[in-house]
Amino acid sequence: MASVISKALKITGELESTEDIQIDGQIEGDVRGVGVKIGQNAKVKGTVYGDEVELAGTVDGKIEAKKVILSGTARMTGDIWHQDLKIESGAYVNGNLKPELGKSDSKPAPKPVASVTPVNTSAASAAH
Amino acid sequence: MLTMARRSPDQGPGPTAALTAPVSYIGPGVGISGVLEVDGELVIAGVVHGRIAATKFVIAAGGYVEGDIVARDVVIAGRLNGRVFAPNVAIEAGAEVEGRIFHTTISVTQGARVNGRMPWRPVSYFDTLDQLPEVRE
Repeated sequence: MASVISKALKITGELESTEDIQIDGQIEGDVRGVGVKIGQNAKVKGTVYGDEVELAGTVDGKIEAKKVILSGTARMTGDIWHQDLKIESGAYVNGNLKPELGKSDSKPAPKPVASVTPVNTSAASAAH
Repeated sequence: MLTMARRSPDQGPGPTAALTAPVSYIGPGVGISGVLEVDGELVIAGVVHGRIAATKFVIAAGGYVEGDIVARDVVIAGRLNGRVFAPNVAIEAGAEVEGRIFHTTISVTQGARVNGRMPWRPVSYFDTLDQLPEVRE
């Protein structure tokens, strides 16, 4: 059963989740999740991190997610960092859209591998 | 009301609870630090550090709360480290509670581990409880 922040719940602070989460209430603070669904009457003031963020409510802050879906009722004030973005007609967006989340995310991982291999090859060629 | 609350930790919000009010459920993979205020029922199977205010509050088995809880009904089947301010408190078997439990009526099921004091207070004490006593003996 997925976690539910009902519309009667207000959280002031940080929320971290390793499972899918449905937010219908109010959150003042950052949300870190995997799949995050923000319902029509929900309000989040802070940054929403996730793999997939579906927004139908209000976010005042920032979204950082691989996949972002803004439905027609969404109200987004702030930047959206994404790899894959869908905005439905009717959504309000005020902020920058940056499609570079994955680049900054994936770069640190391959880099060490790439820097290790040339050293090995040069060491091997130097041995010859 | 208590019987309804008792069912929650095992089955989650049942159909009866869903009809009356939406239940907030914090699953096992969720951690929250901060203040949680809910006008209704809150079930926690995850981890919460902070202050909680709810009408009915349940720590399900596996859940952990560190902080103060203010509610009308409190059911603890998980772990708590902190204070409880509630007229009706039920501590289930398997629960681990450390701290103070301010109550009017309380039940502790055999098998629960309670380490702390359980001061009794009249119901009126909870009605006028706007602000938590920050330091209390």
